[in-house]
Amino acid sequence: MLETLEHGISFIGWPIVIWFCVILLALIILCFYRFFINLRTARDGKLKNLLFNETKKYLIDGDTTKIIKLAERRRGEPVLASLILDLMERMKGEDYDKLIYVAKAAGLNAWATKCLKSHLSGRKQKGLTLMKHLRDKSAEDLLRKLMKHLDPVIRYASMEVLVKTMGVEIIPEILGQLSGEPVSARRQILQTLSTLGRPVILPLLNFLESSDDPLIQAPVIETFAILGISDPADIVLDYLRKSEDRRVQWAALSFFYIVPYEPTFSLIEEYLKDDDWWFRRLALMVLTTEAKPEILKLIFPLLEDPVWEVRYFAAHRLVVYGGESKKILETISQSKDNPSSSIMKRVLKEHGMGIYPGYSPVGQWQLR
Amino acid sequence: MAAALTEFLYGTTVLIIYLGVYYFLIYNLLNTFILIMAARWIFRQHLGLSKYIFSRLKQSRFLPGVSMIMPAHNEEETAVKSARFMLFVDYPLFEVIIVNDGSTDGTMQYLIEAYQLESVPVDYNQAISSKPIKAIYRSRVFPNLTVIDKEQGGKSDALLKIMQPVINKPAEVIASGGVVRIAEGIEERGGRIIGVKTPNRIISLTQVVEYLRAFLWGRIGFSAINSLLIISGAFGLFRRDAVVEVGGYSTKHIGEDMELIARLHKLFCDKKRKYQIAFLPDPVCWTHGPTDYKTLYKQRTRWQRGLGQVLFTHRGLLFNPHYKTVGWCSFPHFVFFEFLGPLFELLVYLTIPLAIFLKLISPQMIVILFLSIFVFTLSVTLATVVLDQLAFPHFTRVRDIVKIMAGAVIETFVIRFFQTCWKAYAVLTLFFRWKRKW
Repeated sequence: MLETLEHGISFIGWPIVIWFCVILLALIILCFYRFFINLRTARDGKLKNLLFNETKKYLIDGDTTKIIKLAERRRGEPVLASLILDLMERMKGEDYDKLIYVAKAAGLNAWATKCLKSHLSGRKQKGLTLMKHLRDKSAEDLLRKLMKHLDPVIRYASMEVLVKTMGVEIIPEILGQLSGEPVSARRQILQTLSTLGRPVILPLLNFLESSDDPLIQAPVIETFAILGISDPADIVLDYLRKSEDRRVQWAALSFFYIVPYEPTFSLIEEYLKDDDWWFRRLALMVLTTEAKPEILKLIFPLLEDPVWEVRYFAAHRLVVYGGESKKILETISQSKDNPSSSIMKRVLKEHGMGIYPGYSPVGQWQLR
Repeated sequence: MAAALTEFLYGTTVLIIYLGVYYFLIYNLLNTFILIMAARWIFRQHLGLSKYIFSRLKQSRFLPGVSMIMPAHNEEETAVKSARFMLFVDYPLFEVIIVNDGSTDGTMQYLIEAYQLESVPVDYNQAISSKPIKAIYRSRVFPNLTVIDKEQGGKSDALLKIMQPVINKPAEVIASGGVVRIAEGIEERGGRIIGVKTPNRIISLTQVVEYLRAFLWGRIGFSAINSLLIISGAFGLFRRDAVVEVGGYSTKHIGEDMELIARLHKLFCDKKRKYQIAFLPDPVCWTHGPTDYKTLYKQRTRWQRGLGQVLFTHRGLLFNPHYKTVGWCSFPHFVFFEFLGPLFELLVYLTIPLAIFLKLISPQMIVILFLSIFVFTLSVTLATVVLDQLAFPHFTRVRDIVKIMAGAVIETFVIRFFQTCWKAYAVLTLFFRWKRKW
């Protein structure tokens, strides 16, 4: 037996040693790689500092000569691009426009287009991020191709850039591609479209009418909620009335939470008696977005709701109305028999501290 | 009689050594296989949250709200700082709940002073079992901070990253875990981590290596086949309704984090619901590990006993086809390699002097034998370091990589032996306790 073992060890020993040497070699190569990367990062850091100082001067005196010279250096373009992108995140108005000007003057358009053509996903993303700000229409064809790229991040980013550069014109093309994307991606793309504001409503309404899929209807209705415009209210109300899909109902209620619309109130009242407490709570929030006294009589029964969260939200809503309703809460809080007395005490204390429960219903249907 | 006894002794010794060699080989081969699976998974999935997607998600209005719960027991030195880390995470909608778990030191007082807390009347929904709550505090400066005073019973982008599986499959993912790393050596400013270096103390350095190995290959490998059995209590994201449905963390188990995951697997398999328990190698939570060997010993024996308790409670999972990959892959792995393994390893170590004494095997042969085994173990650990550096390099200095390599050598040749002894001791005490109970 031991002889077999000794023989076995001599047999497996060499593969283990070779495997170990391979790993060790990989680590040594990694160390060298890391060393060179660190060197390059340090060099880029120096160049970035120089560029930063020049950009600061440029924002004051408007002279771009030095920046362009520095950008022409080796690795000047990517360093300038990363610096400008960082600054753009923080700046608005005139300074932002000045940064766009300097980026164009330093030839970053060409650099971004080169990145878009790269086969590396990371480089493409850098190009797309810059292109989003530069809004260069000459890259349109390239961006249309990237809308069908295998990498989802590249697809979404190119759609976003196209929305920024081409505006409403590109909407039908993007919506045509939407059904093929996963649900989470649909929501992100629609959110991008919402940045166009009111002009996006009509194409979205047409798209909504043309689809029977609740997983398209719900995100589209939510996009209306994000836009916060009351134009599609009647159509959303129609969906709330007719759709039997809970996700669509949730999205529609979320819309009316952001865009209060009086004709819906009688319908939403029904949701106060829903079996699902999430819906009861949302209906309560929708109805109380505007402090109307006639709503009070609907909220009081919710103080006896079997679910703690609904009682808590109802009390928080009531306390905002002040006057009579606040007095009722104070009475309940002092009552020894009422099981909700401690919750009322808590709500009154939190109200005194200026704390209100934060809740954002938009997008939460995905979890139901 | 004596001849028979000697023959038995000889036979047993040879058998143990023989099995020991096979055990180490199979264990390391399995680890290599899981590591390859993990590497394949990491490079196939687009796990790195690109700067582009990250900035988009940060502004997204579609993300579900998250409650971050931080338990604190006698942590006056770290509670305020840890809470600050949580309050500054990059996420659109979250609340922080600190549970002061019966602290006897100044934890509560420090929190009250730092965050201007005020007591509000206690009223809560007892959906899962818990010890009584003494008080609930809300903060005047951070409206999304709540502190719960109870009877005893990361990087800023980590939350957004750990939410990725939920964003992709919101109805399916019931839990998601991230990597936990040792915090000794990190540099922070204003609640944000600005740099990561390797610690100088050997005890911390070897723990860095251990955590790297445990989280990077073990959990990713099992997660790739949806048979992840642990989401660390230090850093995990759970669907509230799923956790409430299984009754929350168990108060009877030491390894409550693993026990919760086992119950989730059981419930969802029993009810034939589609589910996923995900693990991501990128979101990182930094935790302080023991800084002396006595505490390390206590921690490891406690973990081993906790593991044993959970495995015993859920023994019905073992080789049960109903529980799919959990029953066939991860559960047997934990039973045979993680729980019983150290006991067997110790037995092999104890048999070696006997084998030499009985002249069954030469000392040179033993050295060659165990050197090859340890070199194999070391190469698996070093391969994990390579994978980490290629995928998500947190250590950017060459000096740090070299230090980790040194840590891996010390861990394999020295610390591992002590840990085997501690774990074997924990297993034995657990066995005797069970025997007494029965």
